[in-house]
Amino acid sequence: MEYIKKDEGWIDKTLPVDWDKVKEEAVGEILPHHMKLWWYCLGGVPAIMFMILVVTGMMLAFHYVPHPDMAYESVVKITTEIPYGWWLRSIHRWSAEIMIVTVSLHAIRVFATGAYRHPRELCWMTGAILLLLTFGLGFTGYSLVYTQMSYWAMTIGTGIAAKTPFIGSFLSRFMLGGETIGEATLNRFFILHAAILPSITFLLVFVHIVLIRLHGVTEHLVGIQREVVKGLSRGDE
Amino acid sequence: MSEKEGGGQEVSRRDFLANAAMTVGLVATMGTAGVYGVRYLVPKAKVKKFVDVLVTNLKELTPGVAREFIDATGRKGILVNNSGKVKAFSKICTHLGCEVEWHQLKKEFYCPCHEGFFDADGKNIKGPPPRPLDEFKVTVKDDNIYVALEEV
Repeated sequence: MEYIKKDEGWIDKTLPVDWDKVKEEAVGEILPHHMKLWWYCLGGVPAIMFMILVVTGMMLAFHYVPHPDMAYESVVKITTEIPYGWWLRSIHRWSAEIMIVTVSLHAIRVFATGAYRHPRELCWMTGAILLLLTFGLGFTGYSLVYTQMSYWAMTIGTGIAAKTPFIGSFLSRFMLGGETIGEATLNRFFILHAAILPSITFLLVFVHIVLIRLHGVTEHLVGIQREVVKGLSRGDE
Repeated sequence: MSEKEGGGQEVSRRDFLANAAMTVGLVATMGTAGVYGVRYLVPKAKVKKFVDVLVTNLKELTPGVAREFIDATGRKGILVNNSGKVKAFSKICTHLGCEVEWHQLKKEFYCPCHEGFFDADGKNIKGPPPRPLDEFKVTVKDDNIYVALEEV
C-alpha cells in the first residue's frame, strides 16, 4: 500500500486511513450527464436537512419538557427567553418543512423517471419507508409543540390510526398510551420523535445511500447521451 | 493540482482562492453556529430588577377607583384604591389568562371568561381560578403612587 511509504506522523500511525481514497470515494463518483439537472439531485437535500434536524433537535431537547403542563410553556421559553432559542427552533422547523417537500419531490421524480426499476428495488423500498418515517417525524414533532393546532392534529392523527382494519384500536392505544391524549401521549410522541424514529431513519438513510453507491446512478430512460461528468471535482486533470 | 518533482505540491491561484473562500465561509458559519449553540445551552443567569415607576396619584385614584397600567414588556396590571388601601395586581386571570376587571360596587375582580372572582386583596374567592392574582409592590410617597415594575 502506497500511503504507508509517506512520512508518517502519529495520526497516520494510529489512524491508518488512506484519506485520498476516502475523498475519491466521497466526492469522486462518475455520474451520468443528466445529473447536472437539479431535479435529479433532490435526494441529497433531505439527507442534509436530516443532519441539521438531528443537531438542532438535540439542542432543543435540552430545554423541552414533554409534559402537558410544561410542553407549550417550554416551547415559548425556548422561543422568547433562552438566547438564540428562536434561531434553533426556526432552523429546526424550516429544515423539517424543506425535508418533507424535497423528500416528496424526490419520490415523485424517481417514480416519474422509473428510476426504481430492476435491479434497484431495494433502494425504492427503503425510500418508501423513509418517506413514511419523514411524515411520522413531522407529525410527532408538530404535536410536541402542544398548541391547540397540535392537540387537534394529534386527535385527528390518532383517530385515523384507530380506523385501521383489525389493528386500529391497538394502534391508537399504542400512540395515546391510554384512551385520550394525556401525559403518556406526549411522552410517547417525544420518545418516538427524538429517539426511535430518527434512529431508524438514520439506519435506513445509510442503507439507502450505500445501495445507491453500489448500483450507481440510474441510466436515463430516454437519454441517449452517454457523456459522463465527474461529480464535484472541477475536472482539471 | 499538479505535483512537483520535489514532492511538494504547487497550488494554483485558482485553487488557493477557492479553498480560502471555502474555509472563510465554513469558519464563519460554523463559528456563528457554535457561539449561538453554546449561548443557547448555557443561558446567562438573569437577575430580575425592579424599578419604582410613577403611575398616578391619590387625587386621581380616589377610593374605589381602579386604573389600568402596562409595564415595559406589555403585561397589563391594575391599580386599585380599596378605601385608602392602594394595591396593584396583574390583570391576567390565574385560570386561563383572560383579563380581569374591577367591579367598583362589589369591590371584586371579575374574570368574564369562566366566571372567576377575586376579592380586593387579589384572593381567588369563587370560580375556577386556582391561585390569587399576581401582585406588584406599591409605594405611596407624597400622594404619588409608584409601582415596582420589572426592568427590561
